[in-house]
Amino acid sequence: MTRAFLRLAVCCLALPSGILSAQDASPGPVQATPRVVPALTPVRIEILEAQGSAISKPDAHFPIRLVDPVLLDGKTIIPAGATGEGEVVHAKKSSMSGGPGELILAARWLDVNGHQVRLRSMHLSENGKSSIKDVNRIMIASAATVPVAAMLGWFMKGKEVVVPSGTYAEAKLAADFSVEP
Amino acid sequence: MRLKHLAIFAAAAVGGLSVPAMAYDTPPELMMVVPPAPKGKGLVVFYRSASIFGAAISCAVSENDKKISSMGVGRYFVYAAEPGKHSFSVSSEAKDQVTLELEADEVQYVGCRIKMGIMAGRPDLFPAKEADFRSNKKLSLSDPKSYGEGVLKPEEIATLAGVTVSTPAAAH
Repeated sequence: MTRAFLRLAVCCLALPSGILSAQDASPGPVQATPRVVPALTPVRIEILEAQGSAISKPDAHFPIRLVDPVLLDGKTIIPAGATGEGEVVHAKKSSMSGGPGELILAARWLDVNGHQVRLRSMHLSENGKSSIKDVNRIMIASAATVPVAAMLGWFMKGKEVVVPSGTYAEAKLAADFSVEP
Repeated sequence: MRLKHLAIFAAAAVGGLSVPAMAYDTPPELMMVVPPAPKGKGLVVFYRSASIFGAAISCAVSENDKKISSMGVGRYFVYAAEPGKHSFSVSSEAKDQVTLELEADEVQYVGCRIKMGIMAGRPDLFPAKEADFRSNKKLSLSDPKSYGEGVLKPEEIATLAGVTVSTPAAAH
């Protein structure tokens, strides 16, 4: 009787642990691994508003749009047409003495499902045609002959930079971009 | 020949006569060498072509009114800084400024030239590309004595670029 009771007790104690072991051995819910588009992935963007050394103001923002979709394993992660924003980093009008206009633009972010995906490395840095060398030549020549004529060079201006709406530029993702599978 | 001397005199006279050209012998292995950016930093290469116009005027580059370094004719220096916006300036009778967006692990270029001014030549900073820098066949490093904080010294450039310098640099 005592032996039978002990057997029953051992069975009762062993059963839950056996069930637990079975549960441990069974595969749990599959953890979804987010897919990642790595930082520095190149993207092509379109500038949607004309910019220029004579019309752009430093720190001003302008609209941009993604030209080609960002793909991962053949699937579209960021669709073409996603809109975002760029910023004028440096703008300087052409100046006296043949100084050309200067313009540096940066891509800041793209909007993806309400999230701002940061961009970097948009190397759209343009200078207008410089007339400084021409002015300097005029000045050197005239200073040696008719010094007053040298001042004429001071009034010559270089060319402005114009970046029309629709200009394409290359940029990169600034950080990894994760998406749920 | 006489006309050439006259032209040089005119260029120096109009360009100004203020700062003597710095003499620093760049080790031949480091001529025109631009190293990769130190990890997480952005690099700016400031250079000045070998033009005789305004040759006596120095391009002294500053950031936030703090001098970084200066360049004589045919010289360059390499500046490392944190990523983000940086405004660099040069000044004489007028101030000129250029703002860059420094990116981590990337190199950017800024040129300096002398424009005609009213009383003297005016240094002018302009954004440039690597091809503009490389179009100058021979540029030497500016004198390390003029380096401020953040400017890479010749030995740091050599280390980052993996260049072995056989001849010690000398300044006259």
